[in-house]
Amino acid sequence: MNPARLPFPYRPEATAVAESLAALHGHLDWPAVIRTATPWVRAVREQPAPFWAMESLLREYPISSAEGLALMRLAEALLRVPDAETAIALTADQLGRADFDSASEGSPHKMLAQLSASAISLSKKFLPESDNPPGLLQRLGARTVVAATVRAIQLLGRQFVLGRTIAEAMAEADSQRKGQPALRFSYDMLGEGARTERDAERYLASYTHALQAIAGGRQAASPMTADGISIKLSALFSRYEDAQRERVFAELLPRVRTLVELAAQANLNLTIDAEESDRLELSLDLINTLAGEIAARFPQWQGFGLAVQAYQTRALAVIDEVAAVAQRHGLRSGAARPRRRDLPAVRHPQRGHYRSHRADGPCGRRAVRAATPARYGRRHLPRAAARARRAAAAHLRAGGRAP
Amino acid sequence: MGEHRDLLAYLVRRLLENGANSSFVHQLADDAVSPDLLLASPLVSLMHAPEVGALPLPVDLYGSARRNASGVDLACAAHAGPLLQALTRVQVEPVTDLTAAEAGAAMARLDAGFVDWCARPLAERAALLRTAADRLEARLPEFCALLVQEARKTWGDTVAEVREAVDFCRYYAQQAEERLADQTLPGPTGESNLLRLHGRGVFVCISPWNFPLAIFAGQVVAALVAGNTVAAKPAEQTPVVARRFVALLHEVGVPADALAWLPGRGETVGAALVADARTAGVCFTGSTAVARLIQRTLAAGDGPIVPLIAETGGLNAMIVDPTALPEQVVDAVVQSAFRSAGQRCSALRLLCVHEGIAEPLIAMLAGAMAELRLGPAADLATDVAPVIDAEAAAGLQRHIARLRQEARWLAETPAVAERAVEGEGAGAGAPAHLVPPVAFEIARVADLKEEVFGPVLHVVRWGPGQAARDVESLVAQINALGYGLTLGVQTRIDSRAQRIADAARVGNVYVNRNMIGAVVGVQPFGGEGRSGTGPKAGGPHYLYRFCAEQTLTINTAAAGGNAELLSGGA
Repeated sequence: MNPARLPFPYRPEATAVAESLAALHGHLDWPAVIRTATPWVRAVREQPAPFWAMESLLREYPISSAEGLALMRLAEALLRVPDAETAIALTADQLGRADFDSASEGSPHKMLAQLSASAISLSKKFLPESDNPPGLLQRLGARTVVAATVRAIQLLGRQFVLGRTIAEAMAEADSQRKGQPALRFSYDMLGEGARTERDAERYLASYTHALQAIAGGRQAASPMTADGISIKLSALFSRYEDAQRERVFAELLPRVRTLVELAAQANLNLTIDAEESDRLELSLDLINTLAGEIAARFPQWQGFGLAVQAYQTRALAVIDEVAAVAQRHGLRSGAARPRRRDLPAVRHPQRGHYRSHRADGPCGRRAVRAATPARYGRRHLPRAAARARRAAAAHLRAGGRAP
Repeated sequence: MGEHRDLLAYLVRRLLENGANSSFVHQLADDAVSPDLLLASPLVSLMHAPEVGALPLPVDLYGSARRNASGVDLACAAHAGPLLQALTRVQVEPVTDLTAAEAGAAMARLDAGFVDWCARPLAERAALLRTAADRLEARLPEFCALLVQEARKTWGDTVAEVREAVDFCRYYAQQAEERLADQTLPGPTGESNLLRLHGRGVFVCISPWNFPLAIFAGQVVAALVAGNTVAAKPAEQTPVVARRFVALLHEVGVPADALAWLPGRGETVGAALVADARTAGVCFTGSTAVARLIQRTLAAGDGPIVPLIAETGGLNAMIVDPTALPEQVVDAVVQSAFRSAGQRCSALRLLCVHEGIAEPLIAMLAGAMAELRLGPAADLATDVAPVIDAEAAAGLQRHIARLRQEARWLAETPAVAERAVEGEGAGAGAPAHLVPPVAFEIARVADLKEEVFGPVLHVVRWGPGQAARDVESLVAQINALGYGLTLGVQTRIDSRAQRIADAARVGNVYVNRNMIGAVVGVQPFGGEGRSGTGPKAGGPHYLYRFCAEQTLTINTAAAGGNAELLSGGA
């Protein structure tokens, strides 16, 4: 068993929070935060991004309400159901307990809310009371309701997802960029972790294809000005766990290496996604190995990064450890706090994984980049690390949970 | 990016996990929340109330009355280290089986010890259990290592088992104090009525090799705390870990003539104990066949009518409908069917998959089975360790050979070279007895006839084109197997899960999770039909079965009048 890179993970939260608070004392100018952020809040509200629809829908039907929960749970399951009987039973079961008629007027994303509402109201008339087989007439009605619900969920999916394929996603990205040329995207292949070797191969092919498509045969001037990709290690190997450490290095590492090569050659950002906390030490070992290889083979590349779960009691130690890894291999750790013009991949945990994020928002996870050569210069490493610590600490309580 | 049907499930789960309406992003989207309110420093509230967690820590999960057993994180070097070190220290010594005569002599001692032990105050007996729990918890690494060596359990399984034993001690101590104390009963004036519970006498506890510490300990401490003396017969394959636990109980103060460790064969020691005229109760966990044998022996006796608590096997099914998430199903199936090499009475034997999703689900299951690692129990990387002994391995191989003829082979974990696990277990050079997990498809539920105690999974399809057309007929067919221990249900249709649970004649129903690893006091464990008599182990009704009851009615007016009435009291 390898020696731990991080502190003991089982510590009382109160102690850890108190330590973080003490570290912040005197370093944080909150009025300045408010002055800086207030225009951002206004801008976001005046020009909501298309994916904002989800937030609006959730305000209409909060997850804490029966309706919101029913809608979400249908979205979670309905599309994968292959047969009509089961689809009807599921829809009846979920919609049967919700009251969608009272949705308020004047919702900003009326269409979506209304479509859901009408599908759901119809369900009252046509869906069987429980999961018993309905009569013929009822069955015809039920199929209509299910079809309408599926349609609503697909609309919902469209709000959430940039595209079903990388080509579709890139086309959508380009169309969004027309109005906002500085917009940058970090593409993420969504889905469950791999359970089989075939799943892992499929994800590897999908990441590879996406990287090639994003690169488009060119070399970007800088990763910071180009779109990038984020990859999930547990999608690339079905046994990404500490107990299978030998296999992780023998089987997973070569896969990640091929993706790193592609990203480095195209000079793009490649962010390694956060995993469950019991794989954190393993992830850091893997990143340490990759950092060594990158320093040797692609010393000019600045696009290697990882996402850090900022709410963890070990978050600051992770950032210190990443900085130490970068220093050991002579890489720069350009950690956290992005300047306005070069934005690393920062994610909103509340939305899970999806597309790019321009705002340095109140995120649960934060991308930390280790790249070379030094933008700050190696002598500035401690300062960069301290900055990362402060930024991460400020967001410790922002909540969120990574996959 | 991705196909909607693949990623919505994932997105929504994340959203439901993270999407509290009080979250920053939701408030950002809500114009009603002013920027000042939105941007208020989160640190202020933290400074004033740093302890914001509403959830209890794991150790406090069951409230102040009972401490939860401490866990071990095997991915954490500081936790796993002591376990691995303990393995180099522990030794499984050879054990000589007792003769029937020696068992009889022990029964005489235990019978003589009963009166004193039963007279001990309840609080004292409960306190001994709590002390034992603390000692066992402190010695967790040593007991885990013993379980690896003697019972070929993987590390994860050993941790769960020691914790279960600790929980049993604390739970029965708490239950005894809450439920076995004297109760005053109502009645007319001039009379007092009291209900009192006490031990029955010598309880014979016979436990299996698959949980040689947890089940052994659960039976023994339940019988003890209820006031019985205990003849504890461990399984032939695993006497040493039981011996250590009995020694621990003696160390904390359980008298030698209240508890005896009686190793030996079932046919000799077990049979002698059950047939002994001094036996006042039998608690047995093991096969249905042996439970029947015990029942007949007890029935044939001319002495007292002796209660039997039997927990036996099961033909445990999992019902998967098309709304279930395949990845979650595969995780649950692999854990339920193959963890502990399928050597759990709760283990999944019959996976019932809706025909509409059967092909892709079976393909994913096959892929997941291919990724499991067979190996020695002592290796942290091992998923499936050798089965308990040569006899078990041979029996499983026979069943598998028959299935290769009669059923459709679906999937199998690749075998590893046997020499990789040699030298483990009873002695160096012992044969490995590795049985790779395997899955076969059968045509109908009724084709499954007997419990196969190992990593062998049977799969059956249900749906309009199959023998079981719908969920109702499927549950009826599962009930008709006659067993009733555990049942898994995988569906997003809440009312369906509820109706399946209502219709199933099964002791433990698990929805959208695996179906093994029942937790003491949380999922009391035990079934019905051929799966056992109940009451459930680790449940609130268990201890009563170990007790005799007595009412004590006193005519308080016998000596003339009721003094309390005169004094204005009762």
